[in-house]
Amino acid sequence: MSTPGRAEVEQFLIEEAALLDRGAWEAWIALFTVDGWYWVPASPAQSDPFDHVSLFFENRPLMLMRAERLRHPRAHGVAAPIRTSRVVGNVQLVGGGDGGDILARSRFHMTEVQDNRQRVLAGTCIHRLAATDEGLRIRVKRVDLVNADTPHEAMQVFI
Amino acid sequence: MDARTDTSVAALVEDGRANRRIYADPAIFELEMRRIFGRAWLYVGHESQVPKAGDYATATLARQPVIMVRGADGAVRVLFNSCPHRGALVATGRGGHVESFRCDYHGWTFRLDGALQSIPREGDYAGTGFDRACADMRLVPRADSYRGFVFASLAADGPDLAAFLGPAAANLDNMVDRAPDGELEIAGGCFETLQRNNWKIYLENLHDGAHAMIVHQSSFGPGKAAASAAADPLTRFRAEVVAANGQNYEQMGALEVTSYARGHSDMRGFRRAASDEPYYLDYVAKLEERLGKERTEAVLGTQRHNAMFYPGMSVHPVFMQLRVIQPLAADLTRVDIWVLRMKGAPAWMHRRNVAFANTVHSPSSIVKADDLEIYTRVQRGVVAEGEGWLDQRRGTEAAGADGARSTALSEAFIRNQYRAWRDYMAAEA
Repeated sequence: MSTPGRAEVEQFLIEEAALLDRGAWEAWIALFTVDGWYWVPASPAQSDPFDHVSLFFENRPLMLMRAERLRHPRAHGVAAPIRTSRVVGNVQLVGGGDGGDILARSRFHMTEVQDNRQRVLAGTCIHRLAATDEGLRIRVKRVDLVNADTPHEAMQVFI
Repeated sequence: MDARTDTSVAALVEDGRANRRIYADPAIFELEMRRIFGRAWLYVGHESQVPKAGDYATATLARQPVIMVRGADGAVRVLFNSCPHRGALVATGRGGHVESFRCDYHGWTFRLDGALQSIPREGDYAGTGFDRACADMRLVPRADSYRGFVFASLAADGPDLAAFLGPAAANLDNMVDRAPDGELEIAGGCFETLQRNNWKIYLENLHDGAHAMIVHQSSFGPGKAAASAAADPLTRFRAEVVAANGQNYEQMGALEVTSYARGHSDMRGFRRAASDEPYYLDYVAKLEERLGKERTEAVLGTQRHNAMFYPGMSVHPVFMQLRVIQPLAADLTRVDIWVLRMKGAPAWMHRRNVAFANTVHSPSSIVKADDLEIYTRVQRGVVAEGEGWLDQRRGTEAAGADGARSTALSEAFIRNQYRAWRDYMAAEA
């Protein structure tokens, strides 16, 4: 495909957020390249997912493992369903990555409700995107929460 | 009641049962903070966090702010983090390095051992009865370290650290012995997590082999599927860690649990720790260089899933995880999870242990998510009066050389925790 511009990337990120809000986990995971990674660092400006703990650091087999658990009838932690609402904005293309990849930075707000409790997660996403014949695909999605290093309760769904 | 002298609360625990009140009553929680967390040796930090004079790390003991600091003399001390003048925190943040401490309220400064150094316009105290000798930052009554693990006690009297740890200290020995250079260091960050449950509900789960096949049903199946689909060793390791909870009652019933004095306990490992990956073989070779073949086999053959140091610390020796349990309220508990790096080990050993933390201890863990939900349900359910008592009689125990032996299907370690609870709570404080 021809190199997408900012508007197309923004549209892609909005659709990605909609899949997450719908709990369409497998469809969301299918947006990743086969060797894609999903990473939520546990510290601001964390440079390394291997020698430092991360809130999430998952490739496709591990993302699918999480998705399968979320669907399991005995997943007690989601017996009360989790509902989310995401807003994606401030989308910027921040230069090309390796091999013609697109690097996009965006901001998000995600409100999460479960069992009469509500919390807000917010931060910055960096998407490394590949333009393929099937459309944009995610090589790496990095989510930097503004409160990455504060005490957290359980995080069960992808952010 | 006079909270300091009323010891009738100890009657809320009998051998084999505990009254529901102890999980939810704020007055009992306050007593626990004073009588249990105010007396026991609590983990403060690791010496590796303060390698040089002036390095410090902040911590919280029984809700009180403290500073672990290495002095000019090389000794590690634990100070209350509070200015003797008006009480403000002296050190903020998680840690750092200072030449001396300075309170940011009125500028009092203190040496690294807490001794008062200077007061701006000290002459204003002339003729006021102010006693300079009583204006040092206070040391926590007792502090000591065991093979790099720094502990402190808020009580001036009681057993020393070695006596407190007792035979359970072998678990800390095993962690240090596993390092090819014979030393550990904190590395790779920390998970700070919150649980909406009483701290004791968490401790009761630590060697409970009878919950895994029920609570973790949602994850061990997907774990097995992911393990067979995994293309790389680290992904396979993480998936196998999740899948290991799918062991049946027979397998859990074969896992030995040992209960020690003062509420401590440990449980034999049930996850595969060895590997035929090159980094692991390299690690074993490096360990053999220091310890020899026979001793290396003994160290690596000592496999404990976890060990509990009642009431505030738990370790996974094989995977170098350290959990610090801080009760915040009757129904709120903070658990911090650290990873220790074995000095001299190949980089992938630490990466494997970080991966273990990501899988089991991260707020996003698909294993822990179901544990946390059940803890919350216990907290919400326990306030129902019912018949007033909760049972802990499952399984028997047999006297052993250094502690009582039971299995992961026995609640012997829970009864042991509550014997310690009763001992602490029956004494005035």
